[in-house]
Amino acid sequence: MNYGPLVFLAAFLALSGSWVGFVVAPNFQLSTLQETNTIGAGVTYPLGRPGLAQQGLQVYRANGCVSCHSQMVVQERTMCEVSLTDFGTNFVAVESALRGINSNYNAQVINELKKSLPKTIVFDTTKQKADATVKLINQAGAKAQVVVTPSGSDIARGWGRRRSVAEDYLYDDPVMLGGLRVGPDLANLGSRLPDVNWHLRHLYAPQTEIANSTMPPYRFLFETRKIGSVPVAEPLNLPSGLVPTGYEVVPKPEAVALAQYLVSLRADVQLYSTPFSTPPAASGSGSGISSNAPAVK
Amino acid sequence: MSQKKSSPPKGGPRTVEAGYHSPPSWVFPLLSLVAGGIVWLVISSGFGMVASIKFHSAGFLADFEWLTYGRVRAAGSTAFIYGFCIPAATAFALCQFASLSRSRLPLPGLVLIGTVFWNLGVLVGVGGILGGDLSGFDHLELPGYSLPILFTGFLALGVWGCLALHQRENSGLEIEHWFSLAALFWFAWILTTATLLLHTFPLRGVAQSIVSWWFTGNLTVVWMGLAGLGAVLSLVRKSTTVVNRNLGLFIFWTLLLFGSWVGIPAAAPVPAWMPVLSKVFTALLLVPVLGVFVLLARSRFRFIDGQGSGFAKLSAVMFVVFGLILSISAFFGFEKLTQFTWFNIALEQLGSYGFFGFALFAVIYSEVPHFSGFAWPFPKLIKAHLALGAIGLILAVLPLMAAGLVQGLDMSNPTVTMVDVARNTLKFLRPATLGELFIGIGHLLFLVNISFLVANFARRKATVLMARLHFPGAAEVQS
Repeated sequence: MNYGPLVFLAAFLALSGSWVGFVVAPNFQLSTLQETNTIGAGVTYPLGRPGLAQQGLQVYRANGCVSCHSQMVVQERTMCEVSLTDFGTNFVAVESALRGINSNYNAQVINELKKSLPKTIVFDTTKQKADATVKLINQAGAKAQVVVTPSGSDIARGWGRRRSVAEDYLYDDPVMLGGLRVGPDLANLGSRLPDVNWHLRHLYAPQTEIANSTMPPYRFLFETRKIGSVPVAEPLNLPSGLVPTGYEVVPKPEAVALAQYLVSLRADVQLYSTPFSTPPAASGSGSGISSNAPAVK
Repeated sequence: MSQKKSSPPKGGPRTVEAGYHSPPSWVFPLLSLVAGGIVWLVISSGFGMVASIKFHSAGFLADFEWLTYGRVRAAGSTAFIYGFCIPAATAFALCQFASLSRSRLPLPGLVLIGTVFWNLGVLVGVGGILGGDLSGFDHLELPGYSLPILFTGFLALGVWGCLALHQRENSGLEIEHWFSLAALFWFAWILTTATLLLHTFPLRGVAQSIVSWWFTGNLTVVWMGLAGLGAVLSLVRKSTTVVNRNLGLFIFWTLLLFGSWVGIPAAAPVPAWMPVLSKVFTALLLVPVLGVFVLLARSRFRFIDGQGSGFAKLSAVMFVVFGLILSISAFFGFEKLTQFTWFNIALEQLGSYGFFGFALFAVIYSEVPHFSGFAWPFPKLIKAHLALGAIGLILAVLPLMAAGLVQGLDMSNPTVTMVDVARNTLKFLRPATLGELFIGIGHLLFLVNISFLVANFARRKATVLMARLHFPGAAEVQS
């Protein structure tokens, strides 16, 4: 018997299954992805990068920066905490509620607590338990709130406040998530290092900004020329010894664009798909979130 | 191993003392496709060395824009995959199909067109990458404008392959033919999809990354698995044919079914069902891998005697090792440790070089003498290449895997700064660079052998042509 057509059909079905699953279906699901509103401020997110930063994305692509840097923050889990924000007036009721939560709360500890609000009273619990605690505290006349904190080694390193989600890359083309971290993750580089000139100096001579860095220099993005030969917008302020006397280092447009792109890398707004809360500020107002979303006021 | 003269091929050209059978006109273009591939192989190891040295001295060649690390690395990997792997595997598939028929095959010009266009496409692509036009997509760094040239070349080769297959004498196909045919077909499919959705009509946002991961997984697991196993299985001695046929079909189908979903990393910022599904299928890849192990065990690990049998044995072992590590790494949260580390680079190298590269070396060393009618001019260099390749692979892969594990442990500890994470891997990268040097020297020996073989072939062809010009009436043996 000739099994040829059967083998062909079986192979075709197996392969088209993966094509439908990982090419067609994701496109159906993600092609309708829209800007969303941030939690709290309620502003539109994401906004396209400014023009110069978009040119910088192309410089990032052209020099294969993605070989050594990823742009996605990994979150291992989410922790819930309860923060007491307002003690209220009914000391006895709140005291008994707090003792119900933790038997270590005696009058002295509670008095200390009362002086330094807001204060975390329950650490690392589940959402259900945190909600129940908040309810108990509120019934006693005090005020408490649940604080949601993403955690993981990336977040502990300060690479982001939450995991990366599909929305963060909506307007990038190409999207370069990267698969190897020879250097740090850059998803929130602009939040950590917002100074364009720092980036220019770092691109010219990485080791002057980060001791022992293994990053190669990108001096071809700069021009070294005699001082006074051409009127200059902004020479780099480099440590002495790097440039011969009488010369100055001027970033080419590519370098400026790349630096602008690097500072535009900020994906740290609160979204409904990745909730996290900012710990309540002492003043009790303002979300205190820094992001690339414009402030609306 | 110590075979000095070429044995006459079945239905193909041969060297005969008395007269000269001029080889079919498709032999020379296919031979030049292979030889061109080996030139790209040497170029890729050159780029690989430059990229590797940059880890030991960051300032090395740093002031040349076109030699910056990201571009050189991309150029090296492109030269290896698109310059060597794809044309060499395709040439082998076409030889396989052509050998099924004894009659004169039509349109040999298609092979020539395919060879020229493919190499032109790779040249334009690698040049574009060095010039800063790389796409930013892993395993498809080729600039968009080089892809239509490549696709034209591949189409010409693929069409000729189908014509040759159509002219075969027996309607039934061996298992290895199924593997090679599916590899041709699937490569055209994934390349078209990736070209259209990443370059021509680019998708929005992370949908690009998903298609890019899908392409990478299908290229490095399914395509390489199919084409590589097609090559290795053609060299396995068939003792228990019936059992092997059913088992072979089982491996074939499960590799397609499970392998084609591999590649979406667990941490990807995409809807959660995709990494989960990908992980499940990666684990299931254990099934075809164990199938290959059983098949090799049943054939008692015996390969057809030929100059490439050493490479074939290594390649078969590497496939099982690669597949086992890949599928087991889907369990036990192993990916959490190895994500974003050198471990994945090492694993990929084990698959694409240890398994796939060696499979191609095996068939090239074993089959080229049959098809060209010329023995390898320097048989000792083949042994040297095997030794250098094996030592180089061990030196390149094992330290890199260790580097990945150390890097993963360091990265999970936030008190270790990123500079220290990178510095702690450097001592492992040194032997890896040495391994790449060994591999590169092996490639040079390979190039020497193929160059002299092609020169011998061309000289004979020229002599015959001259003889025909001078003595038009001379008796000539036509195949």
